[in-house]
Amino acid sequence: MSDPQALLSVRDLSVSFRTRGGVIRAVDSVSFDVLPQQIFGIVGESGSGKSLTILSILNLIGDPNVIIAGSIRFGDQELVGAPASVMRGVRGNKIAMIFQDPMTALTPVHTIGAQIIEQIRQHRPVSASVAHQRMLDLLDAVGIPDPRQTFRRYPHELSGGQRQRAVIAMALSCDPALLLADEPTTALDVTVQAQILDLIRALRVKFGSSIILITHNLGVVAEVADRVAVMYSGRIIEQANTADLFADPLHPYSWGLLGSMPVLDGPRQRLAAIPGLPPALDNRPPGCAFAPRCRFVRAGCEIAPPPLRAGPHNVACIIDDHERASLRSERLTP
Amino acid sequence: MSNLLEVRDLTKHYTSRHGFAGKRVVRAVNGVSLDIAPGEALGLVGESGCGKSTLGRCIARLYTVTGGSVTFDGVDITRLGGRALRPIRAGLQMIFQDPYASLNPRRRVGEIIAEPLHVHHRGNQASMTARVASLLSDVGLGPDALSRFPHEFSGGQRQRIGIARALALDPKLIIADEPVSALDVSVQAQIVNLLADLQRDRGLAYLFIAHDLGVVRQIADRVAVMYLGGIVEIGPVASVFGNPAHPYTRALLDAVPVADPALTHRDRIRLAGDPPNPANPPSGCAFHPRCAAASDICRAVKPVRRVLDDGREVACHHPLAAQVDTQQA
Repeated sequence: MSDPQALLSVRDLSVSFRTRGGVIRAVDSVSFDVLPQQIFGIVGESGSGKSLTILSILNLIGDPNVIIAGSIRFGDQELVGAPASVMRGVRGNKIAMIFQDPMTALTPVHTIGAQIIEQIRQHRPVSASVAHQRMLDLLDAVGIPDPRQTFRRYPHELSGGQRQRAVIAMALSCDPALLLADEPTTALDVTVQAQILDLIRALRVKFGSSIILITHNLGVVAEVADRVAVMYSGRIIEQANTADLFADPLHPYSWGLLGSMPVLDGPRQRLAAIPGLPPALDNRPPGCAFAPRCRFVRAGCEIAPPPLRAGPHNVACIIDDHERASLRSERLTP
Repeated sequence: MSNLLEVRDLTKHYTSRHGFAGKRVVRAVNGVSLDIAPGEALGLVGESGCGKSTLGRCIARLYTVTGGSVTFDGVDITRLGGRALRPIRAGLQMIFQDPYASLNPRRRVGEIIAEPLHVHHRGNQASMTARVASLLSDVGLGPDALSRFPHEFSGGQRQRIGIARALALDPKLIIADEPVSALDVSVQAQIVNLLADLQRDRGLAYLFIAHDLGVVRQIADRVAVMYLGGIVEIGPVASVFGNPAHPYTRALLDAVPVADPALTHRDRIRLAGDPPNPANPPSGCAFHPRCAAASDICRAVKPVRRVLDDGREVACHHPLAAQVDTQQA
């Protein structure tokens, strides 16, 4: 089932929390492949499990009450249950991460140059001068103006966009094969967000990295991702190549998300909002988690979670294709 | 006067101590004029630090104003003090961005919504109870919410509570400062629809402050675009968003990611750099260091707002070509 070309292959990944009230499964049977140089987008709302999914790739959930099950294969290395010594060689080296808030990802007491050099020398046996030159090249590559002056600055002296560029430079310092980006533009203004998205697109070409991009913004995925997974309440409910997902979304939740997004052109229409809220993780319905909010809910929906249909365009919904085509016109009207 | 709100040359300056260099003046809002007619929704957009929230709070008189005037419903409220402001505030309410911070965690929802009624002595206990129940149902919450505390509600429901509180005194104008930006997409759409319905049903006027242009387009009749403390373009939403005259408006629209992969490679203006620091604004037009069309006059002379043929106003020496053509036609 997994693509032999895949750089990263996630199979049946589950993340559960042991709580006083029992075990809560926050990520449930998630599977996807990331190909070399692919930008893979994961979209979902708060609590959908998208951040936990990528945090578990680097085993960054340092809580003894968290159980990670399933398989995450990176090349020929299994990451689930890998010893700490192995993970140290992977983190920041082969797989690097960019966080949402660049201010908390950088230490305020060192210059950005020093922080990038530290990262390089942590993983590579190079001299200080080689590392210094590499740091300047990286700052230049991510579009920081005048790197020879800017590397001496502290994070608080930079704007939000420049800080995020510095964080990206740090993530790139060891030529990672895979870059994990968790809402990398959410904290930024829209004109700066556009700059950073351009940069992320260019990185794939310049550095040849694959990128997993997590976002709540469908516009951001449409702009940069090659393939998209939509998560709802801990599961992937639809997965397809970006062009297919936006041209022909199959899951009613995807329809609702697209209908909830205000657009900037065409006639002004009432938003087709999804009623209600996502279920609490400890009180998920036994069937499809979206069923209580779904306009097209039917008897079979409430029995068991629908399986993810195989093929290039996966969807977890029991509505059959013929009927879906007739519902499609209906979904366009709020 | 037919306008509900008239703002003229409003300025708000902050003075900050800056090390040994002495005082520094930050011009957060710098000579802003705008009008809102009764029942009209004016959107106010701009990036962080452009002064849009400060402007909203100056109009609500949560801040003292440095210069200029604010006239609400025929009354000059620029210099009014606490007690004299109270009757004004009944007609001018605010909805805040953070539904977690704007509700008192130790009060029950019923008390939170009734508080404005108590402050303004509206009715007796029985009529207040009935009023609170009807407000709750207007914003889509059930009567069981009355005796619960804010922490028992989700973000979207808390924002509904904040809206009910703002509606309690039947205001004429609501200043909504980023009311949906803390919410998830599907919940955001619910609240946007609710705000649009309330405006239609109650004839409310809004000053709707947001950085999300799509949300503003959904609510506003007219829109004002702010950059570094000043309004660079203001006019009907359809013309400003459909056919921007100011290069900054165009760049802002172009920067919005579109949920349609077929459109991502369209021709767009990309801004370089970051917005400048309001403590140290550029000479002439504040936008000139980032503007592709900037010329000598832009660096030297601050452009004044002028009216174009379609009624919109723009502060630019070189408004975009499409607009100049329509002006001549």
